[in-house]
Amino acid sequence: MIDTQNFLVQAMDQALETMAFLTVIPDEENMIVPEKTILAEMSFSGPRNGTIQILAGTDFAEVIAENIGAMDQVNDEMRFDALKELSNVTCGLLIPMIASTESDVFDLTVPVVKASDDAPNWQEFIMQQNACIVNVDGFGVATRLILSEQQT
Amino acid sequence: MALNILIVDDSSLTRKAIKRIIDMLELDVARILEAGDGREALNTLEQMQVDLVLADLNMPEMGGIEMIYHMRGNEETKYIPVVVVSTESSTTRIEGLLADGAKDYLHKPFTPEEFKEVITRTVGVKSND
Repeated sequence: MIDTQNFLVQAMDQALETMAFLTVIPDEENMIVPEKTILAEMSFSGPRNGTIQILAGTDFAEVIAENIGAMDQVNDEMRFDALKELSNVTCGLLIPMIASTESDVFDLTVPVVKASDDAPNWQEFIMQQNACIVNVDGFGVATRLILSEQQT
Repeated sequence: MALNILIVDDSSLTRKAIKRIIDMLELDVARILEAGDGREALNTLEQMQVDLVLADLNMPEMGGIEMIYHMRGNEETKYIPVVVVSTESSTTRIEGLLADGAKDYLHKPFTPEEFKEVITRTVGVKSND
């Protein structure tokens, strides 16, 4: 069986490194577990259908926004934008990994974010099936790939 | 000739990142304009002279494919080069975009070097760096 969850982590790692100069560290002990979370989510449809979710803290979203935009100060809108763009690029990198051929066509939704009371808390999220936790430069980030159909 | 460049992306951070790369490359740029989706871009194109459009595909309201379609149907905008800057990786769709009028394609995430190569190829100018 193909480890699609591992593909999602690989895709996010590549996205973070290129977009925001951050790397996934193989250490699940020494990382900040987020209290205030933001959930970014986007779906794809085509030869395979599914949704990716990325749950991270507002501090982590701030670091991504600062690195992408080379800014010292960011607001909530930029934090949300940063996590949306991370999910967009991660999804774009994931799709060739799960597609059968390079010519497969997938349609993507526009990424959406949920924050504050609308976002799930860390513990709730990581208890779900297929949730993966990664350490990105000391920040805990959780991801989840939900495939709604098997490969045809 | 200094270029007017229009960046079309719903992510304000991505627009900032692209602007920063353009600054780094020291291209001969007169103005950098921004739009958050295809519809806003078409409005800008009606009002401003633009020499190059850098456009995402997946945007709310109007995406990049529809924007290119409208641009190609308008005598005023049909010859403005459009570089698609997107996460799209399907060869079928990329070939379709190029056949439908996009000048070039840049896959996100990209490095400044990849960006420079595509822009140089598209507008036929060399940066000063």
